Amino acid sequence: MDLFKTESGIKLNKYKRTVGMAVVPVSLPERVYIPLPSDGEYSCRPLVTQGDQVKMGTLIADSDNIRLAPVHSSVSGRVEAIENRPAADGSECLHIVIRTDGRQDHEEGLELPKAEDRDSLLKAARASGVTEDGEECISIAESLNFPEGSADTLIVNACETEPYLTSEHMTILAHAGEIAAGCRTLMSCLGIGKTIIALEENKKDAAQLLKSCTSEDSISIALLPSSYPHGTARGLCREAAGKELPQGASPIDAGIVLIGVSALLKLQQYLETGMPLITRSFTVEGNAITKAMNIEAPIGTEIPEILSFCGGIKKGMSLGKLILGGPLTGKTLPGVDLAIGKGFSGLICFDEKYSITGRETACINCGRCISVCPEGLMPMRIAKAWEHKRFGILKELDIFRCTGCGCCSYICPARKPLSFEIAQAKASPEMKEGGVQ
Amino acid sequence: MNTEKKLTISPAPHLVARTDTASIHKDVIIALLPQLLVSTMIFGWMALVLTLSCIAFSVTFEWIIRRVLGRSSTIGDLSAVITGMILAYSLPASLPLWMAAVGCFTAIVIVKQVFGGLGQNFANPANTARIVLLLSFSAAMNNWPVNSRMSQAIQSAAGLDGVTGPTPLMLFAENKNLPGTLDLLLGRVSGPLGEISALALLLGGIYLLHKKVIGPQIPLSFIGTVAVMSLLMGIDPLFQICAGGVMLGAFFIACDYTTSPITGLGKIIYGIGCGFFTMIIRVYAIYPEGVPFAILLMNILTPLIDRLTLKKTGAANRKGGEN
Repeated sequence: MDLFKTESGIKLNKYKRTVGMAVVPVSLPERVYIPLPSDGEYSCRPLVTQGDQVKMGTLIADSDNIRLAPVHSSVSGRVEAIENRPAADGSECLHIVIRTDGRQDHEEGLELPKAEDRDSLLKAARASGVTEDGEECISIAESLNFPEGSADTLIVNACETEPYLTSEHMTILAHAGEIAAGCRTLMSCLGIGKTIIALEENKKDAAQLLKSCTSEDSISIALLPSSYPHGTARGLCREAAGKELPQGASPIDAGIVLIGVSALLKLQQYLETGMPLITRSFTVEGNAITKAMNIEAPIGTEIPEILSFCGGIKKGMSLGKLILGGPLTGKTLPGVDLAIGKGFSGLICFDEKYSITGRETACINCGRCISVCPEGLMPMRIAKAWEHKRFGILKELDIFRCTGCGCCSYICPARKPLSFEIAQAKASPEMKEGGVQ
Repeated sequence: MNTEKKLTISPAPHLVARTDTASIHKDVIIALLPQLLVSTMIFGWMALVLTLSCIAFSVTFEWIIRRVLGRSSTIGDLSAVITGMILAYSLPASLPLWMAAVGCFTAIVIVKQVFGGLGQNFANPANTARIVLLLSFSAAMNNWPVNSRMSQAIQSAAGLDGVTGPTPLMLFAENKNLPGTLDLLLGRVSGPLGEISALALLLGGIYLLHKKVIGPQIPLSFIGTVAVMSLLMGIDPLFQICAGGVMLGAFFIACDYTTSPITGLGKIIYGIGCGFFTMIIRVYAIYPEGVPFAILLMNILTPLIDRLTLKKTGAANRKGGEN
């Protein structure tokens, strides 16, 4: 036992009851409402109009801003409407409403993309519609578009340390060969020398399978401890590649390219079949859902359809909180009448009792937040400095090292919203000049 | 607009650990109970009445002062209960209740609430109040009731008059015959009602360590320093550890989060300081007991210790960091 520093991170393994459940496709909904993302002033403009026939994989929206990934139809059917509907963050955005005809025909015009060198790979990556994790729907081509020759390591983030989520684990078990092929494609097209696939040690079956698919020396598997969190960019650079990023630096500054394992898989599948990203796999969990399971749903499926596919809300309970993403970093949804987009891995349903995390009381200086922070920060100091708007102190506290994992808020006995206050401090205009993260 | 109930919107994370401030305080109360049991068996109902009165005074004063200051009521976090218990544990079981009330007022209103309440006190409230009572009512505070289970040898050696009896540390200060370690462990001695059974307090301390309410740094460094200094001074280390307030101090008072350092290294420095000053006062100063003063002094030094040690374990912890 180290008397000077306690182990950081928190152990939350017991919440994985869907482990072992293979990903099940949901029954085809009657309609899909495909959201069109926007990035500030740029948004994806619809390329179809009401009445058009579309098939699976048809390009239905694109943007002049190449950061945004194009949107493809996830079903075959007829475009019923293009209208503003509520989006996950409480605002509204354009959605393309498609009435499915049940036939699920594939788009015929899809060509098999070529990925022989850097330029063709980047073009294919954008055309695939695959996005980085997160609701902003930034195309994967952005993170692959680094200055040529400046990367020597590819890290595949196969970690899934958040409680409840297991869909990525199941996906790896089902598609390990394609993941390995994806690594090889990226390495050869982008000129990267080695790949490290990082996952936690409680996924030994997936690690074994990946090892058997990757016989070459340039691809290695890194087993990380299974405490939370380990899938953050800074954490991976530190633990899988041994490189500590200074505050405000991104992985490419250390020669590392990061890609999520689902994104890599979908990109490889696009290169092999020509079908762009049109479905999303995720875990439906929470104490209020009748059947917790891993499912795959077409983009644009409405949430009530997903909930009823999983047996609906348990009898005697009512939905108190609906979370898109994991329970520790996910965003709460303002209502149930929303459609799913890209870039998330969980839908968590809590009943009313679980939704209240407790009343905030005084900080007792217990220091648990400091001992638990994986980045070695002092969350209560940062929160206190933010409350009193002491920007001089904030600048010395390295707040841009914070990865938003939520360990501090989780462990705080006074129920202080520490990670939220740190996020507010990071987003404030006075701190923005300080760092980029 | 549908009439369904609205969903809760809140920032991440959406799960919290089960431990909260009240449950931490509940564990401390549980850890203090063995000693209360022993005291009641030895000193009779007055020990229980004094403890319950201190709890009642503390909770009431906290409720009143929070209302007077226009702040929310905080008696639900149970910290006032602990302050009351620890103050009672530092008193002779026969202390008049009105003096105990003065002590509770000092602890809750002056040391704690006036400075901002839980988390803002500059020193441990109960410990500081004990010192105030010691200096204000020294006769009553040194009037130790007889322990009915005290061994005959001690009673005759101390020249007891059958009503009051000296504490082990008073005997040590006067170079008289000392009670054995077993007497100290099992509560066969006189003293403050919460310091007489080292074993009962040790059991409580182990419970707190097991529940991860406290870390081992402060108890080990406090008790360890007392032992080392005793050996260096040529006196019995077990006696010094088990007699007086070292057990209560090392596991319950010095470990108070607000008034002890946050970092592991800071806690060790703090514990060493507590042990050091305890022994210096016990051996060289006129007060037989050094623990309260040592803890008060180290409480005041805590912000400085934090400032000196946090640089090494805080944000600059990782290699390649900016500092």
